[in-house]
Amino acid sequence: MNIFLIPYTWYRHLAMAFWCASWGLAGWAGVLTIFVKLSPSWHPALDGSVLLSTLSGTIAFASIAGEAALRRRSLLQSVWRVVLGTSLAVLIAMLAYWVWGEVFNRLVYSGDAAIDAADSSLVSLRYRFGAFALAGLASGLGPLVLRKGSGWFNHLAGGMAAGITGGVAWHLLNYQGHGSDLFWAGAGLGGAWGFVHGLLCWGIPNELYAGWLRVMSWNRYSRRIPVDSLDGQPTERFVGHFTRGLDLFLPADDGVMEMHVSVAVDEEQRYTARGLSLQPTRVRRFLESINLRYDPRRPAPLATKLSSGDRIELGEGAHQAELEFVMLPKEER
Amino acid sequence: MILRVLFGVSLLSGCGDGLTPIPNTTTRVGRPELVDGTELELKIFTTLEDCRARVQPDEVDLCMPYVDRSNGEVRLGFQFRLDSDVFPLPLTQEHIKVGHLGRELQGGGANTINVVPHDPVRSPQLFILLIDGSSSMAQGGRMEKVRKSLLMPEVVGAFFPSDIRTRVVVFQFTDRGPKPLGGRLQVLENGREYRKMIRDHLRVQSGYTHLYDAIRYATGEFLQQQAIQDLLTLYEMTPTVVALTDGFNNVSSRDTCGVNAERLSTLLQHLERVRSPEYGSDPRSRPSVYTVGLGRPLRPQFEVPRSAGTTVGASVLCGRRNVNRRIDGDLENRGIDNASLEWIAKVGGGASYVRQDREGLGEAFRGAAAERYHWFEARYRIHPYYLRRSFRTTLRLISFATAEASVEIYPSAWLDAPPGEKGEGGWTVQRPYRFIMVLLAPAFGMLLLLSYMGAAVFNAKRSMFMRVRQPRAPTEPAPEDHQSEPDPPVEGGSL
Repeated sequence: MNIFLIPYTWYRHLAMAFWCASWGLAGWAGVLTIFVKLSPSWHPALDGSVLLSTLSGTIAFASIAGEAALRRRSLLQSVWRVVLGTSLAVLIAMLAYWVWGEVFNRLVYSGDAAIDAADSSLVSLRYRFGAFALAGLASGLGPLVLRKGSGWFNHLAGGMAAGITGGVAWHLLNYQGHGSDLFWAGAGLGGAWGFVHGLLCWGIPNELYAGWLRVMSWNRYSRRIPVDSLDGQPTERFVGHFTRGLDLFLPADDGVMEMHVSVAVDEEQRYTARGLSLQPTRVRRFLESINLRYDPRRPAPLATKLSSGDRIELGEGAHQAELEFVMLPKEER
Repeated sequence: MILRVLFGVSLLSGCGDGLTPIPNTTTRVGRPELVDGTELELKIFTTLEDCRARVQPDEVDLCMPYVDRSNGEVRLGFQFRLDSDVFPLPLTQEHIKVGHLGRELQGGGANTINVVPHDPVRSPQLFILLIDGSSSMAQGGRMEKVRKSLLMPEVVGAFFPSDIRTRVVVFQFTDRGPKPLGGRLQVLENGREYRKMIRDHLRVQSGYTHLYDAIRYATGEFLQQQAIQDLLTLYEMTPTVVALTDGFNNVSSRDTCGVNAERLSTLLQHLERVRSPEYGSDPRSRPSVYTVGLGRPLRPQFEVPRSAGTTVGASVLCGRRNVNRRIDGDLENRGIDNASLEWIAKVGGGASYVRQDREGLGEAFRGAAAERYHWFEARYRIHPYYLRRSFRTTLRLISFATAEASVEIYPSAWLDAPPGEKGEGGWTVQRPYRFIMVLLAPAFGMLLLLSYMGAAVFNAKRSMFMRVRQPRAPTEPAPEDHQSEPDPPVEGGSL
């Protein structure tokens, strides 16, 4: 996970999903390798607990370690968080599996169903559904503790949904075709669980990005300034051709006035462009053009929200400058 | 603390169940359970140590239990032991019954059963050849075909292998009963004596075919002779009866096929008795009966009924339309009584062959003189549904001797090793574990590609659509002081 390789587009929401899916697969491969190559001597009744708690821990690890990598935390800063979060997920998953198998199943099922529910060798989603859901919940709880409860609903609901999705993938792949194949099913479990967990539990937050103004016209091409301040306080950047005191200088020959436009960011990291000049000022985006030319009859300048990729045109005709508002990883400063 | 206790308790709860994990699989097996009171010990291999000690190194994988749930296949390696020694047998799938979850599996449909022998070995044997000498053998050069096939080097080699001690006794049977070839009983000790005997004395006699009586004599009275008993005991030989005929058991010209049913029942009861433990025969000295038919089978589709014992119904043996037809001059011209031959071989613990040419007969004789095998694979294929939980597989020997064992198999309820690939005969061959890379490498590659896809598309899009705009009017360079505009927080670099 590298924030520099994740541009600020809708696609960034999938980055954690791919990352966690990879770790889910790795977790499944690890457990399978233990089974196949190390021939464990534990009772078959523990297989489910081992698999689910390992996957829960692996996916929790992926979430925490991924966040640490994105935030470019030092190794020492990250280790205790990773160990604590992973351990919590593993232990909660084991406890949840035990509760589901030994308590819930015994209370809910009776007769033949109770026998089937207690049969640890039976391949069945029906009697393992809760185990998947609770293990998914555990994979969300571990990171949630470290994130101090932030996004608790996403972690709990997303984690549980991820576990259930993994269980459904496991079930469907097991019974694909006429047969029963828990090899592909196991891979599907790890991959689907990790993907949905990464998608729902923790998205890459906007705070990891900062807004930048970048010159796109000929003069001073590619010059750029960040809009956000280092301390995260609301800020406003001014663009014009004053030689002193402005944040971004553009030549008057390009149709830029002394103080032509400003871009502000508030405490919730919302960006706004304000037209400060009587000269043409437009914000353009796909299928949309917003005129910000200052109207002296209005009490305040016109303003519009900015999003990454918006263009701000200053002046018109042969004398025109162009800026781009783009979100870039904050670490790039 | 609670978690530690729970974890410890749950781990401890798994100990002591005697389950053995099967390497390279996610399957575990319990301890094999032997049925008491059987003559042979049916040893099912469940541990690597067992297999390494008993089978060739390159066959250890085949010896270990294997469950391929995706293909619905189960494989078990087993062997027979007597007094703790390996007891090789010439086993085929007809000789063994396989049970799954307490029910006997029947072949056909989705179910397939196969027994694969391994590690062939020649064991000391006394071959008792019973050759039909009736007058019908003169037709079509049948006796000549028999002689030539018996003199084929491969057949001679099968009867007298170089690495083990075997003996051959040859009888011809007619309505005067079985007579030793050459007029007096002679135990042939090598291929030279055997060839001379066949060349010089095998001739067509006259009379009817007293096949049942001949087999009864060879498996009873003959084996009880003191000299033969001594021979069997001295060299620990197993008697193997090979009976050849070109037609029907026929005692008189009025005989119909239906009449033979009662005679066959009597013979089968005799065979069952002489092969039973109550008869006092050691499995090593228990006779096996192989039958060879020369000609076309009268009932090509005949199969001995599964539930058949030693009581034979006339319509079952002959087919309803043949029950009252005469053998002499009618049925014997239409084909040979393959039904009787198969029934005798089944109860006699052997196999039945029906061939028409010299090569076919040679093959049949070689089959009758078959090698024994040290160990076997029992393979069966059922609907994968029946493998979705732990199950018990039972193996039961139904000829040669009594032996039965079962083992509880626990495939993992969560994971499987890579599924096998189809091998020869449609049976699955276990894939090496590295097959997992076939899944992991593309999956990781795809996820990595997708991870970079966002940046790649973003940069590609910008490189295509975000080029510097060409100046539409000449612009003067910025004044010197313009270059020293106030420093922005950070400036420079390119995207």
